[in-house]
Amino acid sequence: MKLIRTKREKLVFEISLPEKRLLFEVLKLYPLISATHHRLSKTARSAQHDENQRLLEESLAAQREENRKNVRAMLDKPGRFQEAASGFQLTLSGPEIEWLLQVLNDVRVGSWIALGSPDPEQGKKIVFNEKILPRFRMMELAGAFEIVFLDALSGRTPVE
Amino acid sequence: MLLHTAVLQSYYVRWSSARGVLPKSISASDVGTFQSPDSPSNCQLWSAKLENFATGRLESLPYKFEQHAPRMRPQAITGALDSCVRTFYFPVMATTAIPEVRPGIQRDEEPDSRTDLEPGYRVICWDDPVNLMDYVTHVFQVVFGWQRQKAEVHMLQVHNQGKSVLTRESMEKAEFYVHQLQGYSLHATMERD
Repeated sequence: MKLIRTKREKLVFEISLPEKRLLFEVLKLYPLISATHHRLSKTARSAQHDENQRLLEESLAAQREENRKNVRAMLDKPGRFQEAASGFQLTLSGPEIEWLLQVLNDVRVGSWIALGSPDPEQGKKIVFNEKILPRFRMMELAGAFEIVFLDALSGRTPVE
Repeated sequence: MLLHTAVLQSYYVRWSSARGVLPKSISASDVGTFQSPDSPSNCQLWSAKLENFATGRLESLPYKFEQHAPRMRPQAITGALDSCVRTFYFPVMATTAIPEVRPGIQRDEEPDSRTDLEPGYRVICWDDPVNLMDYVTHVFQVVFGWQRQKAEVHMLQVHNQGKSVLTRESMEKAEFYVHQLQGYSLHATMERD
């Protein structure tokens, strides 16, 4: 998958059929992070804080629902991927890439949590087995797609 | 639109002698000029009415100052009077010093806590081994509107020191930023100073 041109503030990516399948595989996993994972504060303990925490969870859930609808529309909308000689062309606007990045990173971080939050620098390594391997694969795939979109946004790939 | 000095002078003498609150005499140089708050087209008519009042042909001024006075708090009105006292002694101006109670304004019984409005909350991003460095930089740029260089400084601070204080804000704004950062699945919290 690569950026082939920018067209009226939209980015056009070339994506092969296997890459498209992998992207769909990653997107279908969304959301992976539970609504209660994020904490507003590490130290605050009060009734007011609990109320604010509840509001945060509600707003994150609403945002997640919006992203989930966007994912569903992307997967189901027939014209989103235009057939081309080398596979497909995927046209995305800036805001669309932003929510795609949120979705991909949710899958990446959610997979990492499911792996037991490994941290090689702290000596907490992944012990690979058949159960863990698909999670690890999804984590790395999500990261790979993130890098493609981030490179496209920062202009590090050729533009028309 | 200047009223004739003689008109003003005669009006002043009539008014001050009746009330005995101002000096008994006034010279033309003390009177100065007066700018009517009325529109320019009404100035001549207004001037004639004032002359009639000053010479006793009218019982009261056909002009309500309150209709033209800017709505100000009593303190501000006092200041305005102090600054224009040398311009023209206008009797109806005294009525504007009465504190004005505006309808429909209700004070909060419990005003907002001062600490909630002060920038006493730090928005902190914590290190984790899963978020990509370029991704973290991008999120900082989007959420805070920073240039790439500044975003990279904070990203490296997170990476090397385990955390970075991104901003100090009021409680409401800090909550907003934390929500934004967590929407991108970054490990962010807000802590009181």
